[in-house]
Amino acid sequence: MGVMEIAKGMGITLSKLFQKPVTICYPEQPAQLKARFRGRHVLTRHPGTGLEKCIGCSLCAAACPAYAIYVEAAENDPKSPHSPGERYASVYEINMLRCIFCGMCEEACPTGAIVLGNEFELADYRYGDFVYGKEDMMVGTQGSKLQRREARTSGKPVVMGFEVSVREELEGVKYAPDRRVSDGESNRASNPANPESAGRKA
Amino acid sequence: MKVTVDGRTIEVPTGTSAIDAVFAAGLDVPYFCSQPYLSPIGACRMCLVEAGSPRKGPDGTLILDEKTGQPKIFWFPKPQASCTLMASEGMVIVSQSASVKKAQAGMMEFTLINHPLDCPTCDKGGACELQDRAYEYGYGDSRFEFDRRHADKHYNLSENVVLDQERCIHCKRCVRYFEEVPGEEVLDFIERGSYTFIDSAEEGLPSNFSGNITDICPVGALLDNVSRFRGRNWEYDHTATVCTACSVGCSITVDARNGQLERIQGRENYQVNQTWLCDGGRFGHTWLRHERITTPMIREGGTRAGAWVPATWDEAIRLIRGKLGEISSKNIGLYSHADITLEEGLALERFAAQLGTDSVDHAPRYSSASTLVPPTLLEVSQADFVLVLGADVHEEAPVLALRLEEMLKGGLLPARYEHGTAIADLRMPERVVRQRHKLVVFSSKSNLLHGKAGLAAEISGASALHDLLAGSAAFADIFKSLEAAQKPIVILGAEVACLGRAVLQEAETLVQKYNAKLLVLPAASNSSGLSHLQLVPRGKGSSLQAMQVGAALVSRLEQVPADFAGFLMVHDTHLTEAATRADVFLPAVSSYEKRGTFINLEGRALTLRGAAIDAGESVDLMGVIGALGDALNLKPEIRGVRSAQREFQKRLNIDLSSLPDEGQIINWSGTSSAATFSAATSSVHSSVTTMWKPNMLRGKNVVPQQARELFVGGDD
Amino acid sequence: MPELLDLFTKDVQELENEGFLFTTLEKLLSWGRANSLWPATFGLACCAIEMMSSTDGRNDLARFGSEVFRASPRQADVMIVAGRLSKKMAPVMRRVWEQMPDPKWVISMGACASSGGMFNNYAVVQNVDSVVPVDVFVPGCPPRPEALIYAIMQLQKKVKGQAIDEGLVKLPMVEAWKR
Repeated sequence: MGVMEIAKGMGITLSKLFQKPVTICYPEQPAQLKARFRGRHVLTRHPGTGLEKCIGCSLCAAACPAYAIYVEAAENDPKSPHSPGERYASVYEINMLRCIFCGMCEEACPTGAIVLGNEFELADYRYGDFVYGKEDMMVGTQGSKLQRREARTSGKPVVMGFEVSVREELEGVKYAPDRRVSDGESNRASNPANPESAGRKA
Repeated sequence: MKVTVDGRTIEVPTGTSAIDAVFAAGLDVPYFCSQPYLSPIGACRMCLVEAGSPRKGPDGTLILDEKTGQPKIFWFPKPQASCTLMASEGMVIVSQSASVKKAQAGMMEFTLINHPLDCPTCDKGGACELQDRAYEYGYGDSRFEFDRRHADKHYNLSENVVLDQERCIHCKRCVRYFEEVPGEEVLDFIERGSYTFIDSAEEGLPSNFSGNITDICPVGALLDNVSRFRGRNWEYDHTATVCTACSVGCSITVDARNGQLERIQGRENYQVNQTWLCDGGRFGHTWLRHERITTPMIREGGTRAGAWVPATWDEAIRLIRGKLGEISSKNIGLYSHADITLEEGLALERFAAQLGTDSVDHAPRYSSASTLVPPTLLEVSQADFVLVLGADVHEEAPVLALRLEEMLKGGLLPARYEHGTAIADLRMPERVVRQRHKLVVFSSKSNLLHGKAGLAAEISGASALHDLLAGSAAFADIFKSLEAAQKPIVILGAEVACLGRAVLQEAETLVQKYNAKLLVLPAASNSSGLSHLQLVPRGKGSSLQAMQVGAALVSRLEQVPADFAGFLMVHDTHLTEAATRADVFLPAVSSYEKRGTFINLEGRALTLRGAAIDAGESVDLMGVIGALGDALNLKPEIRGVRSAQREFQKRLNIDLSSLPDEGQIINWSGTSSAATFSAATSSVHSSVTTMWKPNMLRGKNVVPQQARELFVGGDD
Repeated sequence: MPELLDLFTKDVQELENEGFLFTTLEKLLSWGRANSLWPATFGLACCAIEMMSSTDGRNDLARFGSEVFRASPRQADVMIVAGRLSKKMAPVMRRVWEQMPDPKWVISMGACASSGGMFNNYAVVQNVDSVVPVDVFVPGCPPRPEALIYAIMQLQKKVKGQAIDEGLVKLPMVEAWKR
């Protein structure tokens, strides 16, 4: 091996010193997601009427290879219906730990009610806290249970650690807009976006 | 008779319909309107096949094909509905050709024109004949581009049956069912063409058998309102078991989801219920899931005034051990409801013998039982004269009323083939004239059967029996009919059977005189089985009415005598009136959760299987006996279903663990009969227990407690 | 009052029970622990690939002081169980966990480790919590590296004693002390 080869190799190494670092400093910088990334589920509503799209047919539960979904249906009160038609889901639960985010439920859904969103920050401490109910997945709810819990106890808004162009199946979903923070420790304070308003139907 | 189906030549009996010939050949034809126990009418036109048959010439010989020399087949010009086409000698049927497929797919397209296709919200989805057949035989697309018919989507026909008029495909099964099976025409088609819809003239469905239309509806038009939206068909755990609400023992499928009983459907048993159920058996199960207690409970502070506190079985057994230690084991009474399984009954009998107690009883029961062999339900439907004395059949054994209706229609049963009951038996016509003269009913109160009988009167069954035996001239017509009849049957209801041995003796004399068969409607669902066990007080033993014992185990009985002051252990599913006076409560499983054997009114042994219902720590009577044995340091002889069945293998030489699906008539001769046991009985149950009252279930919202009373009964 | 010697023979929780309060030192300790969580590799299946990529240049787990994946459990603080745990592997994992020095934590990464995921069968442990005490579960199949980083951030919070569960119960810094 000659000097030239060493110089060539070192040249490549040294040239990287002057490149922009490839590291994406998540959580300070948002992770760049593709729209098709499958994260936490969202239960969508009909635009206009605001009724739930879910009719409680249990086809998602039937399609689920991990048996993560549990649905109980009930009859709509015609005066104040939850969904169009006779039937709605009175209980809709997904065990996020069992879920393998395969998207079969979305494929099986005849009304496009259950759609896999983009949230991935779902880690939590207790097994029992991973059963997401209807209120945890209904469009308009931002963040995982832990994120919302932190937001509740600290009084700070939920901040998403990603950026994505929301695909159109996720009707009405808006993930919190871009934010720039400097401090790694208390970075979650400076977000101006109000998560409550994001994604909520008129 | 030889028939060729798609090249396969098969042998079928004369009178077979083309559809059954196709099924007999092992091929499949889609159909909606045919139902094995209803008359074929060819309403849906789905079962189209090509058919042709040889023809005879003027000389009486078959016309031969000039080329082949074989009989020439003269084809029908168009596909035929195979359910209304009788197969004939030498007929050729083509069920799998392209033109048949096209005809069937076209028919399916027509059927689906006005069908809303709301399968995701429809409770029938997943078990729907239309869905399956559309998948198998349909085009998968529709060329119909106009507005579909819109009609009432949620129309309550009655409290228990909900109608979706959009989904109806006008197969007419429900309309025919009401006319042909219970003989109560409460439903009919209204309007014409695509505007046709079904409805009842009055409010609700005034029938005790309305729930069956939800089973036979091939689409989701008629649905069970009790299980509405409780689960999808593929989510249920289906358990094939037997209904123990009355002594008929209809075969049912119990559907549970997440450990909760949600739905009961009829199951075919040609010998017993065909496929039909009464509304009480089908819809009256909701009591089970309300306020059920599934853990043992003991009293706070150990006194009866104390509040109930949940306990473990160990704590309950410790308490029982403490209390029973002070009492002689001869002074312990064992009392149970008469709907326990045969195995539980045996365990009770053996445990009583082990304890040495004479105080063992079951209720409700008659003081005496007939030793004559009862007729089977098929014999009832084929009888040529039936005399009903003091029975309200619609209350005491509802499905027996359907067999009586069948008897009035002439007792025609659908043929049976290797592929099952004939799908379309062309001998079964629509609108049969009922031979009312074949039925005579005497009971002190008018009931639904009175309207169907040729002769009915509101006189007490016992006095009618007495007069009949005395040869009263007023009954001359009946004597004539009895004498003329080949297969007469006398049905004795609770009103007569509870009167004791003397009256029963009279009935037996009458029956023997005319060579008839005697059917005594049992007091409770498993009475006919338990009457062969020694479950009545012996010697000086205390009956359930007296209960002169120091401690008593009372299993699933509503009440105990008011003056009973001893230690009371109640084994039940709910906190009943008896339980409010108990010292310790032991949770019981319901009949839907038991394994075991059930003997119905014709003496047929039927297998109970436990449904997937979450019963917590509940146990059956054998479990309680095991716990009692634990408390008394005794090892009960019968500790499980298997050991009981081994004992029955010895006694009856029958393997109860592998009974056929349709059950098996048990021959009790050689075992100690009920008569010898009941001779020792000191008290007589004079009260009649009707297990449940379908009339109360109909058209009313059944609150759980009420439904429970209807079911669990006890002496009222 | 316990002897001074007890301070060295008893563990923190025992001393706390006897009335000792560790404040400043505990904070310092937990700060140190939280920012130098050395993972023990326990890659069992596809999740391990994502676990590896969480240490690459793009995601750089080193920013959290967790870059040193230790092949020896004796030098590791947190075990990342990445992938479905078969029942044959369970005793091995338990042993590795037992070999780790106290205090130690476990992250259950991915659906299979946390709940068996779609492998609801005889061969797969349905939740590694039944083998070792899990501190943080990470849903996903597999979770992306950012999701694992988020889980490590949550673990840091737990190590610092800032974690609460859905019932708003404060979680202990260390789930199980084992000597």
